[in-house]
Amino acid sequence: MTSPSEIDALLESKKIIVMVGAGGVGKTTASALLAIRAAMAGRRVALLSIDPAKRLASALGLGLGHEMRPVALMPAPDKSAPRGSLHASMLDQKAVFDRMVRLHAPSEKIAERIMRDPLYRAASTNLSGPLEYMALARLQELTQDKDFDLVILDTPPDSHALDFLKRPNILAGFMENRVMTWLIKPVLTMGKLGLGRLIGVGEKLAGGVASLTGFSALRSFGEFLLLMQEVIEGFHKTGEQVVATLQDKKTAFILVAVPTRAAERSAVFLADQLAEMDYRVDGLVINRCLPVASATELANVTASLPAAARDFVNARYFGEDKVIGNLIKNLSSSRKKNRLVVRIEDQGADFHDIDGLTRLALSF
Amino acid sequence: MSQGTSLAQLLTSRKLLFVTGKGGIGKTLVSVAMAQAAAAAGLRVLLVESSSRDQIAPLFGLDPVGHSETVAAPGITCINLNTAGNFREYITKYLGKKKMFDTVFSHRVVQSFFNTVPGLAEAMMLGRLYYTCDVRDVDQRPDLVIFDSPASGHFLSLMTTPDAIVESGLAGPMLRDTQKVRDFLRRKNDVGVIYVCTPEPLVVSEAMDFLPVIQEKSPAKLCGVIVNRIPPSLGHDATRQSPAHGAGESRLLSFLRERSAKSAAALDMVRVSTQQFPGIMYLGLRDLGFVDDPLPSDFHRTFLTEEALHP
Repeated sequence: MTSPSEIDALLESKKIIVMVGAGGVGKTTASALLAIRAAMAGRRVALLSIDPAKRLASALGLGLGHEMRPVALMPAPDKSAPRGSLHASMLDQKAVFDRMVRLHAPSEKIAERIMRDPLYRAASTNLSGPLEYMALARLQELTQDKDFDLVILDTPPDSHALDFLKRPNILAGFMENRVMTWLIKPVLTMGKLGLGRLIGVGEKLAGGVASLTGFSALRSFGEFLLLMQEVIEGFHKTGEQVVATLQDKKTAFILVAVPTRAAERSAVFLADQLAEMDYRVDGLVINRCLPVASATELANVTASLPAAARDFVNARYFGEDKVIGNLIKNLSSSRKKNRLVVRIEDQGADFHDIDGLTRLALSF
Repeated sequence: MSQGTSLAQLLTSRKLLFVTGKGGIGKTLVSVAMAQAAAAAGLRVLLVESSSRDQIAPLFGLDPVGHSETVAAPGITCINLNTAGNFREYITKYLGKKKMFDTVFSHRVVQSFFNTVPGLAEAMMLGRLYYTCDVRDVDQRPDLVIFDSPASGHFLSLMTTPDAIVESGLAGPMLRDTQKVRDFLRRKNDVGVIYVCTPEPLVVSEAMDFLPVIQEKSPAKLCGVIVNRIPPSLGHDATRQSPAHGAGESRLLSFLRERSAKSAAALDMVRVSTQQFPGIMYLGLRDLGFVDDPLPSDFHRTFLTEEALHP
């Protein structure tokens, strides 16, 4: 495991920390713990969370609105006062989306039309692709904010999370490929003329798809894309800036996992993907580890337990050991540098308040 | 609760079982163990997931299978359905233009397209399940399809899609097909939802909030609740707090004790709730501590042993 001073050195030297991991591994909790620890040590931290669990949100005082709001830090268990500050917010996807549209639309009138479009309303609130993109757009904004010197991003709770890093502007795909033009143009033409002479493979298919779906979905989609054209180009530019920011050496990616085989596979996969895209993985946080200091303690405790309980505790202890060992081996093979490994003990999923979080944040 | 349905009854009588619950609580292991149990009873089972990367195949020691039905074990095939694959099959079936589809649609842009037309991905997913269970030639139909479904919130959006489409003003074959899918999902004797939770008060209270919503909004209704990861009993000595315990006590022991106490409280909550949904299956499964993969072929025998959930 890593020494506390190495953890603090990382929190001290980076400007952005991106937390990645599969759903259900406690990514949001790990993000909050690192944010609190950095803030206690003197940094001015902005924590951007996507979808925190209700209880964690209330412990941090996260409420409505996407503006960063101050979190009231508590003194450390040794009574030392916090030296920095912590602000946190939940991503309001629609608010960021709206702002991006206003920023990039050629005119206020077109911006209004886009925002009235039913497809826009559905896309800006419900979709996971734009959610990820908007998280990055917001990250870019926050890195420009003079009030913060460390931004911690808790990424979407999904294993698709990396698709957007590969190509941060998912919508740009529409611009690059003529396939969409094939699909959209005939539909638009048909819409205008009432009927259309469909020429070419793509057009026939588009016609077919349109007839299956009752036509309207695809047509409105095409209209929507034409309307969005300039906005999409603007998105593309932001996407490029974000990639540069994320590849900067002041940015760290930290993998979050739990000691199960499924989480191990997922973390190794994520690490490979990140390495392929030239993003640096600086650390690994393993949540929900058994709170035990040594094999001796384990043996002492299990000696007094019934056989079933003993088997269960042993299985968990040795399983955890195997998973962590594999993760460290896998992660260090892709780069020579030693990485940070933080083991967080199982808290029984209960965080009542900022006090408990602070205690845990300073314990590892 | 003894009058409730048993897992064996559900496995042998239903055509399609959705397994859902909060993320990270063992839905996949439960689904796979159920498939093993059904196959051991002589059924042909199709185990379905829809994930960006295969979760099920590695449990059988297989490389990712993706969108193609692959034999995983005797009696068990598995598939990881993706939207593009579902859509391709649907379009091909109607338009007979497989090659054309591949030319145009085998592009990542297609994925964005599906994601941008609200409800399309969900409709295609449910349609594919319906097709597999009820439309396909009888000799190619599995006896049972188990869908290791998305976590609670996404599951609800999936299951509310048919109503949304029927009411959306779409027309044509897709509307007619969606109506058929919805009718199929409403067949209580063929289709059911199993909700998996863990014995933690917070998780159980979330479940109690969520289950009535499924009953109200989903065409497929709840047929079982599984409480996974029930910790083993610590025995009389370890549960008793003796004066010698306290500050110097092993953290491990106090952690285990605290977990036992929480589990007991959570199981009480589950018991109270059973009156709300009479007749469905309630099953407790023990925490194995750690599960290595690939799973042994008789994993279900160790895992699906009922833990004391009944009062």
